[in-house]
Amino acid sequence: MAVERSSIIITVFSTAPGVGKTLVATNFAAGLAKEGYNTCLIDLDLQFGDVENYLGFRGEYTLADARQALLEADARGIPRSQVDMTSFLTEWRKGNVGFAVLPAPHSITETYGLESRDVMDIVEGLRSFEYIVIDTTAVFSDLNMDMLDISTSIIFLGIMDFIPAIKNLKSGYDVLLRFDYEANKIRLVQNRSDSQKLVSQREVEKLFGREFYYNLPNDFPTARSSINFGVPAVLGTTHTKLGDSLWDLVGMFTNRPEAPKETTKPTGFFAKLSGLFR
Amino acid sequence: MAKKKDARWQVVVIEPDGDMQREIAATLDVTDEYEFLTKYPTAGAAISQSSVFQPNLFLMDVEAAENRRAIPEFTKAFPGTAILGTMSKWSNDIAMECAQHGALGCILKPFTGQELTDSIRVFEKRGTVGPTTTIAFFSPKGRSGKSTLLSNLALHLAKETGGAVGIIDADLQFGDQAMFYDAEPKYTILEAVRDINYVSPITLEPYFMPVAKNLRLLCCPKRPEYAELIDVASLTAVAHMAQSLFRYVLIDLPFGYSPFSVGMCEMADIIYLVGMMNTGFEVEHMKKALGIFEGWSYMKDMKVIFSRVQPCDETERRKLQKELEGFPTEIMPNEYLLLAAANSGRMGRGIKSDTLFAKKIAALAGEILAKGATP
Repeated sequence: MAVERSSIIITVFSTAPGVGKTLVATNFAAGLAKEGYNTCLIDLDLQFGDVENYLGFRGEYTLADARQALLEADARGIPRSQVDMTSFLTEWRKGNVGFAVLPAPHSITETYGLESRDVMDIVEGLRSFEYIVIDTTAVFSDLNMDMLDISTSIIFLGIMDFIPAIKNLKSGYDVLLRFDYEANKIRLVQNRSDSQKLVSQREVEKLFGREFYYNLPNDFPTARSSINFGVPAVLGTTHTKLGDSLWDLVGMFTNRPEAPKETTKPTGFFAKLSGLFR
Repeated sequence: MAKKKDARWQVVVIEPDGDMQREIAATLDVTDEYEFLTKYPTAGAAISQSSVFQPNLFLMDVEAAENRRAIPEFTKAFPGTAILGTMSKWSNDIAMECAQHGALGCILKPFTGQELTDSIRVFEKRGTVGPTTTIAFFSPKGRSGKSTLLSNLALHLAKETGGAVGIIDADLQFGDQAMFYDAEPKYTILEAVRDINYVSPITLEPYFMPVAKNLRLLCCPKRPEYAELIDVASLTAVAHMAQSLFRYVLIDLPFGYSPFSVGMCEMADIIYLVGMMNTGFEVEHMKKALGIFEGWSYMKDMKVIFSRVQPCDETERRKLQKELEGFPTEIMPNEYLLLAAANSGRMGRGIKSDTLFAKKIAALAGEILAKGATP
C-alpha cells in the first residue's frame, strides 16, 4: 500500500502590505497547475480579498459558504470532516491549465465570527490537493499564524524600496524566528528587486542575516496587464521578465527538473559570417 | 493675608467639601504663582459674588453637574478668566463636557502646586479653549497612504493653528509614525495602556513624544507581538484622555475592520477612509468599506480620500465620487518628496507649501477648522 500523502501548503505572507502577495499567490497556483499538479488556491484576505479580481472571475461560492456548511454540520451533529469542501470551489481555467479556487467571502458581514478554527477545518477538507496555495494579509492574526503553522513553506514577500516597509518586514521576520518557525521553512522573496532603491540588496540581506531566496524583477507592465486581463503572468503567451521569473520560482517548490537551456540558433549577419569558417 | 506680589493667578475656589476647600487653599498659599482669594461651595454663589475679587482663575469642582453646566455663564461674566475643573476621580466624559463649555481643562484633586502649574502649562499649550477634534484614519487594505496623509495633516494643524496636536499610532503591529519622525520613543502605547488607570492628562503627556513644534506622538509598541497586550477599552481610555491634552487628536489605525479600528472610529469626530490608487480594485474595496460605515454618516463627518491619484484633477475626483454614489470624496496626488522624507525620518520638516499635495492638505485642514468652530 502506498503511503498516505498530504498536501504541500505554500503560504504567501508578508508583514508589509501591498508588496504583491496576491500576484505571487495567483501565479503560484497557475504555475503549479501548469506543471500538472492538482492545485487549490485559497484567499484568506477575508475582508478585501483580491484573488477573484486578479483572476477575473466571481465564484458562485466562497469561504463563507464553506464555513456555513461547517456550522450546519455542527448543528446537525455531523463531524466536520464529512462536509465536502471541494463543492465550494470554483475551477479557474485558461486553455489546458486549470486550478481550484476558494474565494474570500463577498461581504464583510460574512466574516463576522469567522474563526481560525473554521478555516483550519476547511483547509483540512481540501487535503486531497497536491498543492494548496494560501494568500494572506500583512498582519499577525490568529488565522495567519495558524496558516503559517500548517504550511510546508512560507513565502515571505517584500519590496525593499521603502524604509518603513523594510522595518516592518524585518520586525515581522524577527517575530517568526522568535516564534520558532524554522528559518528553512521561510523563504525570503524580494519583489521588484531591480527597481531603484535607496538601500542596497547587500545591506538588506545583512539586516535579515540571510540572502534572498529569490529576486523577482520589477516588471510593472506585465504585472499590470496580467491583473487587467485576469491571467497570471506565468501563463502569458509571450515570455516576460516577470512571467519567466515566477515560473522559475515555482520550479523551486517542485521537483521540476531544470529545463534544458534553450539553444538559440545564431541568426543574422554575424552568424552567417561565422558559418563560413566552420 | 499679605498680597503676593508675583502671583500670576488670582484664584477663586469653588468646592463643596470643607476639608478639600482648606487643602486647596493651603496649597495655593504655599505656591508663589497663586494667590488664594476666596472660596464658595457652589458655582451659583461664586458667579454672583466673585466680581468683587477680580479673579483670573476659577478652580471649580465639576463633579457637580450644575457647576459644570454653569461654565458658559462664567466665561461670559468673567471674560478672560480661566476655569479649571477639579475632580476627585477622573472622568473623560466630564472633562470633555467642561472643555466644550469653555473650561481650560480639568485636574485631579487634591493636587500639589507643581501639578497645578504643570496642568495650566499643558492646557495653555493646547491652544484656544474648546472641544477637541478627533480624526481617525481608516483604510480597507494596507499601503493606502493613510499614515503619510495623517502625518502631513498633523504637521499642518500644529503649524497653522498653533494648537497642540497629538498623534496616536494605533497601527499596533506595524505603525510607521515613529520612523517618519526618526523618533526613538521611551514610552509607547503599551506603557500608556498599562498605566492608564493611574494617570491624569498631565502625567499622560510624557508618554507622547515631542516630534515637532506643537506636535506629539504616542508610538505603537516596539514589537508586533506586544499588540496582543493591548485591549480596546484601555486604548479608548488613552485616546479619551489625550483629548484633554490636545486640540486635535489624530489616530492611525491598522488596515481593515477589527474591534480596534471600529472602536477608534467610534470615538472620532471625523473619519477618513483612505485608499491608494493602484490596480483599480481600490474603488470596489472602498464601496465595500462604506457599506459597513453606512449607519454612521448621521453622526460622523466621513470622507473618502484616495491617494496617488493621477491625474489629480476635479474631473477625476468627480468620477470617483460618482462611482461611490456621491459619497464625499477627495483625491491626493503622488508626491515623491514624501517618499524621500519618509525614507529618511524627515517627515517633521514638512513639505513645500506650493505643491499640490500641500495645497490639498491645507484644504482638508481648513475643513477641520471649520468643523471645530461650529459646535
